[in-house]
Amino acid sequence: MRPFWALVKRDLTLGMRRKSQIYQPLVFQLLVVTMFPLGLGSGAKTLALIAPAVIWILALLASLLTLDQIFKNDYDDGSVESYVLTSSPLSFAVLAKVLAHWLLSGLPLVLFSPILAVLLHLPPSSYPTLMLSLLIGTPIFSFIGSIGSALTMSLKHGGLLLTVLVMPLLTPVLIFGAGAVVESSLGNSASQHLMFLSGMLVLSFTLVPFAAAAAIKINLE
Amino acid sequence: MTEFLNMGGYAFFVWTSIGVFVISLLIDFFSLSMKEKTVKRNIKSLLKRKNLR
Amino acid sequence: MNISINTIINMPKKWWEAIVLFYHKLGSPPSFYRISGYFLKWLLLIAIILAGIGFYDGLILAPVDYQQGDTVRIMYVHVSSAWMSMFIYAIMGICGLIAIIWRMKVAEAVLMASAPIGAWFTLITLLTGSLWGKPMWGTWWEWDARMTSELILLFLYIGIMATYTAFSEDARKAARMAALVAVVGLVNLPIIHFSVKWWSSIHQGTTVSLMGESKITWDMLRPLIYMAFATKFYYGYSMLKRARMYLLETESNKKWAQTIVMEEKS
Repeated sequence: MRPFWALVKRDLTLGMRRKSQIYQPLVFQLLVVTMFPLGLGSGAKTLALIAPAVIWILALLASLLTLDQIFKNDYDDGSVESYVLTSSPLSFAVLAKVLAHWLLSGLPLVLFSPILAVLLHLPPSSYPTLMLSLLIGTPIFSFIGSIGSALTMSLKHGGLLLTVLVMPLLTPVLIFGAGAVVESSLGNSASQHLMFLSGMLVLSFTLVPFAAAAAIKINLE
Repeated sequence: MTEFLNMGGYAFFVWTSIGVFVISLLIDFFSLSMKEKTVKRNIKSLLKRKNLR
Repeated sequence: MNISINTIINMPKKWWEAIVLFYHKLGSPPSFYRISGYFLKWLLLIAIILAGIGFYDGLILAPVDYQQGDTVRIMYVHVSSAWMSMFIYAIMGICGLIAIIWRMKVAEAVLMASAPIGAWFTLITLLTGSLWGKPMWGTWWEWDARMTSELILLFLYIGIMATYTAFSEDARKAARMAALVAVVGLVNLPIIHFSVKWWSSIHQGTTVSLMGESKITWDMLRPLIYMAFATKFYYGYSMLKRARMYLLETESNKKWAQTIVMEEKS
């Protein structure tokens, strides 16, 4: 397990050195969320209606900004080969990278979401569901994104391909994630939605490392 | 005959649908022979270059 | 005598041995190229004949629907294309698995060869669905479960083809990456379908399902069956043609490919 934690620690250290990379997606969300009232009118009712979807879509888009970095930097400086050479399985390295990426990008999204919720007039009673749904959903973004990142890491302009590959796979996450918040804002229970989300998280956790490892191996040939 | 072409007033929708179907598959069909010509041409020039060395 | 002792010893004695031998032969690129060459003309011919019968049956003989009138005839191209879009994707997923696990060149060829025609069928499904929807629903597009799923399927097809194109230097690497995308997409497909269906049932619009709940009569089913088979035969033709080109391209440094290219005077 030591290589696993070593990798996580290394990525976190590197990430904390460039704190702007953590703030930029949040600033992006803030800029874009401003567009909605400017485009739609500041009526609280309309904004509250679209708030769950908008916050979730903004989380998705903000994640897309950082997804290619999961493996690209390591590929460019040759570190990826060192994962393959360690004694621990490649899927562990993938898990480590995903965990580090989520801590640096997904977790900030979860913590920042109440600010977006305030700006869009989401009823405060829904805040816990919002944060919980994002807490479960953002790791899935990181997981599925890691497959795309592993695949496109050797390409010069792989960012658009990554988006094309990852978006269709993330549609169920958006459906259940935004749906959970909508249910909660209507006063209903969001447990069904959250359970489906959790199921998808478990599925990602078990299957994605193998897929991403396969992509790394194919890329390194 | 005219009622065949008219399709109960829905002529545009029905015939455009058939057209979409037929034209798409025709495009696919013709792209096959274009691809065949390109691939064979590439291999031939590859061989010519090899034999010249 | 040109028959070697090996051929006599290994000649299949039972009919199932012949089938197994045939299956194994298909795995070898030159054999696949040669064997598929025999079928090409027949596949195209049967496809055209069946489509001709299907069109005649569907556009002239079949009755109109009492609710939808003549627009129900769009079903013959729409539904058959929809079936093909999903059938071809399933084949691509299976070939993707074979290509990744066993690195079979022929599996890579069939996978990449199926993508363009599969994408065409998906596009046809979406466009004809839109053309059917306008007279029926009043709008050119409706986010119902089937059309939304079909749109996402188109994105998956595009992803596979874009992945292959992105890895332009090494065709086999490109095909294996595309295979991975196909497999990941295949695993995700049930999840996507289920979640879109669930989402659609919650946001129940006032839309009518394109197929309706009524049982389909034989006179309307029969042309559909013709079209279903016609599209399958055309898929076979298109896929085999492209697969042969893929094999020639990726084996261009082998003797068998070079002989074929030099022999054919075009």
